[in-house]
Amino acid sequence: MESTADSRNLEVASLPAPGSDEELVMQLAAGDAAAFDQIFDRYHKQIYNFIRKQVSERENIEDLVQEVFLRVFKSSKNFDTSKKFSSWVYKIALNEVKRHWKKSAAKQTFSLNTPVGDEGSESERQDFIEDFRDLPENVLERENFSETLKVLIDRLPEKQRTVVILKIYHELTFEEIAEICECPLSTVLSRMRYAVNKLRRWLGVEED
Amino acid sequence: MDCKKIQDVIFNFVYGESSEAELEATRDHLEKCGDCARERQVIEKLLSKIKNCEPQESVSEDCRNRMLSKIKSSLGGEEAPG
Repeated sequence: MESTADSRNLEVASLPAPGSDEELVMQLAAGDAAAFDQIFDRYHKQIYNFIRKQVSERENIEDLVQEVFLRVFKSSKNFDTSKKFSSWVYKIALNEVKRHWKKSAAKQTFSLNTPVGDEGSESERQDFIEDFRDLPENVLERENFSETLKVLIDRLPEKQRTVVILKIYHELTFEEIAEICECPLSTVLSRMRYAVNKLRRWLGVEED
Repeated sequence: MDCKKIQDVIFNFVYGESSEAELEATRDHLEKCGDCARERQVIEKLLSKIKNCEPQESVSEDCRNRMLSKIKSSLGGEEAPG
């Protein structure tokens, strides 16, 4: 008796919380198509904005968002409900973005010279510093700071840029980002550090 | 915790994701080391500037409906997986 009660408790403990994203995916996987609309409404804005920051061609954003949610629909049975749905859907979105980069001739957003590795080579960085040598010291206070920053973020190597976007704009934890990027936590932290250090140097940000 | 190690854990710290042991050691070091404390301030200021300069773009109702309707038409009446 006791062991049956225990196993029942275990079963209950492993069920997603009522109303949670994970429960909705379970419902979708069980054939409840209405759950899909709720999932879409919870996540389409975040995924739209994540993709918008990763691809330059505006007309592709909606198509990519659609692809992401089609995959959610079709793969809901494969979702491991012990994991977070948010990490899963971002992982799908990142894979779609990568697929798009591969297909697109203009793979990078703003420059053909964008470094593609984790860190980028020293010479590429140096070239870029030269490009921005004339940035005024008070760049952080400028009205067009957001435009400057957008260009700079787009110049980061892909993997660093993804970490920066997921962390700063989507407020995911480093653990979640590690799961999405399928790499160790230490790698995510190191990409964040390299990216922020680059942005600092490029912007000329130092202590007050 | 020394100045070099701080570089590995500073982002965990500023985002409140440090482990308990790491948190205490980082705090201790930042209290004692002026350079690292200033470094932390610069990083926090930059992260905050980046965060505030570009809010999430809103997705119009039209856009939402267009995307959802295209998804459903791509599914072509496909039933939910169950």
